[in-house]
Amino acid sequence: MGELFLQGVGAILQPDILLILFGSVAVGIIGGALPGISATMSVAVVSPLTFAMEPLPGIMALLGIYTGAVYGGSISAILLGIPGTPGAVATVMDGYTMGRRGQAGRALGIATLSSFFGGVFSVLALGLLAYPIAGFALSFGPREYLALAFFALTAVAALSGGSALKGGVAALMGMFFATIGIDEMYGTSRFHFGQLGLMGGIPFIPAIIGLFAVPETLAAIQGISAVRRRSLQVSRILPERSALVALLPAQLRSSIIGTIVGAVPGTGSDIAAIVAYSQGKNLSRAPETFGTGCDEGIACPESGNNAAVGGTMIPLLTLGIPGGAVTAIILGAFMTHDLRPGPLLLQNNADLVYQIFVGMFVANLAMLLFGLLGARVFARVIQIPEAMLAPIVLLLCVVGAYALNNNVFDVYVMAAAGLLGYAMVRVGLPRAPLVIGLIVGPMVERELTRTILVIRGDWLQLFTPTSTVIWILAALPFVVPLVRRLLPRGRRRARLTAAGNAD
Amino acid sequence: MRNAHPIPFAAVLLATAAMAFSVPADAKFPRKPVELVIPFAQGGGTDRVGRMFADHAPKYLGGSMFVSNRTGGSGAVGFAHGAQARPDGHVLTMAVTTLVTAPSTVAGYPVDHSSFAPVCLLAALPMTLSVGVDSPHKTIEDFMAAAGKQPGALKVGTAGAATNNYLAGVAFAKKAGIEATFVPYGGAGPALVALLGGHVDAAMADASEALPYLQGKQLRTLVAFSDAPVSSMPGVPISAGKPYHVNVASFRGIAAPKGTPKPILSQLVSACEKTAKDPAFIEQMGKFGMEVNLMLGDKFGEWLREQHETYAQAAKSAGIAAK
Repeated sequence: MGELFLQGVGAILQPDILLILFGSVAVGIIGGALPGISATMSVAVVSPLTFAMEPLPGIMALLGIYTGAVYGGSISAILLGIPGTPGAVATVMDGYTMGRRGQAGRALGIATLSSFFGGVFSVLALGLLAYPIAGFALSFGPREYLALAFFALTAVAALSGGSALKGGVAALMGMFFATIGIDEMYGTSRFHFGQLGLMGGIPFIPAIIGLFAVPETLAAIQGISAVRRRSLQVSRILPERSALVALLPAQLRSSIIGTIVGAVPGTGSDIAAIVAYSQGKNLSRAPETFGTGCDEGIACPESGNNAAVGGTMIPLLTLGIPGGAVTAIILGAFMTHDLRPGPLLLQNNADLVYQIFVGMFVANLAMLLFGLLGARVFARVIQIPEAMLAPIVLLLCVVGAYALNNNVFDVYVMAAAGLLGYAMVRVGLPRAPLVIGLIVGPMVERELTRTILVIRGDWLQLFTPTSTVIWILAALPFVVPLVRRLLPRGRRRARLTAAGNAD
Repeated sequence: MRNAHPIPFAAVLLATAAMAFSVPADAKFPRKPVELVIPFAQGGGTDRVGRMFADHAPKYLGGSMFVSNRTGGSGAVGFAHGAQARPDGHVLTMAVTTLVTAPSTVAGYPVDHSSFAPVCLLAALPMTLSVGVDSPHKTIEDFMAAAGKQPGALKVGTAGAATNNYLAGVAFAKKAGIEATFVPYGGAGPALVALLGGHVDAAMADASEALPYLQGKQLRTLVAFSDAPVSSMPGVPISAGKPYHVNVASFRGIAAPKGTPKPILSQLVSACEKTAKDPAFIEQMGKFGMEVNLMLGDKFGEWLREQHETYAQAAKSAGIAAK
């Protein structure tokens, strides 16, 4: 094993492979940072180019892009308030807020370091614990998914920004929008009124772009006459050491969550980031700072979504199972090279498996390097006057919405979502819960349907060991404060009655 | 002044000369890159075949070709785009199984096969039923006997109810006289994963979808619903001649919008034929467990019509026909 590992290091440290890795990570970061170009799309566009390459460089190129793109989503989330990829939705909350405070450099620095932490953690998990994690991931059936979906839904509370009621309203709006279209399970038509564009459901990425980016630009346009000079200083990139050390527990927890959620087939970096943010707030010493631009609020989702990258590779390499769209494309690339991921890969191509392992590690290093070096440059975006930035961002929104499916209807959806987002900002409804409703709502519905089919009316069967643990984890943050509140009050009441008796 | 426009004049001369030696300008095809509409997402089977086709077809087509994934609405978005495109051969569409199933199962589905001019069938893969390697059911007869003993107890993972995958499962159960609980997933891929995890007792998938797991000895394919043995799955029993026989294939082909002129259509058909016979294309398809089954032009159209009728019947008898 050690020998194979060293051979892997040797194979990766070739100039051509290193060049491909660094180049593809850079391409991935740009793709991820551009709104509307998701990690899936970046990988899909490049994959045909890799078919003509040798297997190792070809697969390395795809993994480099994948790693870079998931990270890149955070850059536009922090600088423009637009999640570049669905996995960066939760990063907007604290990252953008911190950037607006003039600390965009620090936000980018934390995002980069946390992404690196998550990415490296998941690569180590892939190298050392792939088989146990894959087995655990495979044990997820409809009941476990249902519990996990509810767990993710509890993030609504963390992302509501103060009012749980308003957050709940926004989440329900999101879940309602998610029902539009032809349902995937039984082909039932819902709320599409014969509109072709709506039959496929509300296109998700245009909706996010509109919701987040358009209200910001509209607000910026409103304020343009009051010429504000923005801080011309780019704040330091690396936070002070004590702040970094304080982040480690949150990064570790988020990385574990991200790796597992990524390994579970069907869920990816978006769900991982949402769950990581939610638990980060619940377990934080200062949960009230979440949403106000705190370090942890950036670290949790960013560690989570990049940990999901290694996580999704676990079932692919061990069992040949593509857990999501990106890994399905990577599986296709393997197969064009006559390689079959799965139990036989480690037997027949052990060298390649170790090369992938080392290569993913190097991809994360490249990401760290580009992120830290680039942050100073990227952060200059905040120095662009609003009068120039606002139209550029709007243009990016239109192009990004169109690019996804080459469909003008998506641009209309983006515009409508933008107006909705603007109205929500005005009436004080938080937008992130709506997105969570959009992402998690369909998952809840489908898994609930399948669960009902599987348990055949016996509701006690809802609780398998794994699902029970997840249900408890999901319920704890709500139950614990209640209990805490009840206990002292009980004591106080006892004291009061004692006092009354004494009178 | 006399020599003011020498170059345009020369260009006109040259162009006239060129036209004299070629076909009339308006019949020249392709005039621009040809778009191949893939109504499903990147990474799926339709996407894979489409991209392979677009890789090899240009040299026989005499022009470049690019793919566009226009996804959504169980394929409705992409199919409708392809059907409504200008019928000049510059927009082609992947005509796949959903085109003949969805019109019968999804209310208000905007297109069907009659909106297209058939070009060619590239591949047709039989549906299969697989169980886990540790399953007590060694043969399809075991499986049917177990299902007969406890009606509804066995869970079968399928793709969504609007798909041929689900319809094939329901049609099989009806013919076999058994009752099973069909659990629809987002596609055959997730259904197979549920099978590997032991969350369902069996799963429906087409031969190329089940093949990697069969080769990895992660599942056992009990039967292929086919008239002829499946070359990529030697030793797997076929349903032909059995009382529970249903002949259901997942197919992938190419179509042009209805009303495409005959000369262009025949040019497309011949390019498609040459591509499908290209050894490099055949080899690439083979890597994904797909055999090339070529069927051209009107013959493919006839076949589409038959498939459409078959699924309309199946949807009716499964009780999920669209009103």
